[in-house]
Amino acid sequence: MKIKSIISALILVLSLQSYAQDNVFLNRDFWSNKPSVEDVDIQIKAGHDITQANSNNFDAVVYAILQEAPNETIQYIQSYNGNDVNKLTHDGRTYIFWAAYKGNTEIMQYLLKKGAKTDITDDKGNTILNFAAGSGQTNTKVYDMCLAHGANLKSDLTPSGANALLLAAPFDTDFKLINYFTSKGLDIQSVDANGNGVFNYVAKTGNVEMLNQLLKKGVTGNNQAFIFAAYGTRSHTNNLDFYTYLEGIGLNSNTSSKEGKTPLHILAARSKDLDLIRYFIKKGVDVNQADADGNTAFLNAAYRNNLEVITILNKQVKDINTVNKKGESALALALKNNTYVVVDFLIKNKAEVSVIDANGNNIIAYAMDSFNANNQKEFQQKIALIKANGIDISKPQANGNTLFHLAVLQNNLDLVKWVNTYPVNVNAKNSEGNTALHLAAMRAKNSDILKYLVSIGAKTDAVTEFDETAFDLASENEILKSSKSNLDFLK
Amino acid sequence: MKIKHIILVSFLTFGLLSFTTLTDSTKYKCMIQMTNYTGEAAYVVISLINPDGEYEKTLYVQGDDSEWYHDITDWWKFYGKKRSNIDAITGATIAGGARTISVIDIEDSKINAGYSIRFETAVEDQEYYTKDVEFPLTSETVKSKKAGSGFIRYVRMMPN
Repeated sequence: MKIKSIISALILVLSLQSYAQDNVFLNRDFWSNKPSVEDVDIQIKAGHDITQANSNNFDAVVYAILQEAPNETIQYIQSYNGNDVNKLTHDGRTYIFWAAYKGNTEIMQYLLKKGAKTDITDDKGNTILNFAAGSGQTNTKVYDMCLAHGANLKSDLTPSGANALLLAAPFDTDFKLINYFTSKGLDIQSVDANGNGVFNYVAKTGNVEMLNQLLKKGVTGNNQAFIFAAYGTRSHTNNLDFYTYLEGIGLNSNTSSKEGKTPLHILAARSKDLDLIRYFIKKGVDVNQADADGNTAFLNAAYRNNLEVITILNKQVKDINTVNKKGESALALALKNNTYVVVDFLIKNKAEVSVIDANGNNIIAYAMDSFNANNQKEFQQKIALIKANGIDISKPQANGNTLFHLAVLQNNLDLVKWVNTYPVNVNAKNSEGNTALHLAAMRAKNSDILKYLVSIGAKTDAVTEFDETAFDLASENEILKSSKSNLDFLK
Repeated sequence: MKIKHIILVSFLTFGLLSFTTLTDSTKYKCMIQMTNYTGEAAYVVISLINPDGEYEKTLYVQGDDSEWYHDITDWWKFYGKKRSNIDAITGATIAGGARTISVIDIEDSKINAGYSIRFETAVEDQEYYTKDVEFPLTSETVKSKKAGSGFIRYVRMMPN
């Protein structure tokens, strides 16, 4: 009897958990299948949450709009409490941004009637109209509606000073959008705050036919076209042929942007096309040039590219220990975000293991950032390598943070448990006067890490420089409060 | 004639110099304690607001990636035009639940003179609060604790 009820309780708990993880409404395919209002109701009754958002802040209504669910269904789910017409979703966009992006004017109309704000911008600084233009929306009724609701083509610019004409141009294949925006008063010779015009913007998509037509109309580009070509778009990267084309019309590939970024800065961060990388090196682009943040093409590659690209760039590197403005070296960046083989390569090429960044963190803090509970092998390999190179990992950072502090900041119990295999004082205070238990009390999402720290000897009576105990801090923690966690073990 | 000019200029220069050295200022600690919200770390901008409610000076910026500064919308309208160098008063973004102590410098003439201090917050994918915390600068408030209305739980201010 008892066992049965335990089992059923377990099943209940497990199934509830799987609901949270597998909310059918956060599955794009559900919406692609054109669900009716009734289909949605069945899933709501089955316990799926129609108002939940995923970790990227996409929710059911956004996915329904993006996957072109029936408009009746979109309206129905938007009317639920918790899906307010001005709810902020991914990148700070409300539903009307997504409707405009998809060219769904019927839903735009519906949202406007329900009071959708039109004077807002998203996290990237786009108005609704500019967001739609920047995705190349060809349904110009979207723009008409925005203009009727207060949009201003001349004054509504992105943070880099681009207007809708420049934003839409890369996606235009037949001058439909360019002609639309010029008919509304924008100049085909418009430039952004850095002097980039339509030609440079179209270089993003590498549409040679359009570029040739623009040249015939007297719309020319400049060397910055190479920067735009290197950025490409979400779905398009340019190949060597296109860069050769730009060179052929008299542009110079050895160029950099106002922020000091060269085409290599951009490609080093995202392209695995070795021919391209070699092309720019051959043209004289300097791998060692620092941009406004102090990053070089090599630092960008160390952070997120593969060993082949890093090896090619490394041959041009003057000093492998160059750091950016934050004091991060190629090794620190690779430890944080790249693979063990890249880290190993850098150390073998004389990357300094004793480097300290501008905040007083050594490379262990960077390695801790890369901990992944599902792939601990890479992490263990990195740590072993650091130790083999003479770094004492149980020693605190210059700012007083111990491995326990760093692990708690990751909010990861597995990592905290791993730290406990080293001789580290769990009660050490950092330079701000906080113990690991204090930090955990402030930032914990549940009481697991707190309980574990207490179980291995963390003192509950230690106080911060403001005289607060871990109990005081945990009692203020909104998440622990709302889950009504019992915090008596901290008293 | 020329000498007179030089004397006049040097008087002016001395006058200006002594004037700037005479403006006394005090350093304050601002402990910003965030609510334990879920999501990316927050940008927090601390500004001096004049008696007319306008931005007078940027006192501190927690958040060092200028690419996102435009999201701190109202401050950006003030700062974005000139983009003065703020490297010396720039720190890291503050995560949910975390706290940071920013040391800021305020001229003594701004205390008890109708000026306010503003803490403005923005988080990726989420809200933006122009006045997460804002209070008048008086000899009382510069050593007090004020509750926030957005991502900030409270700010504790005290002379350094």
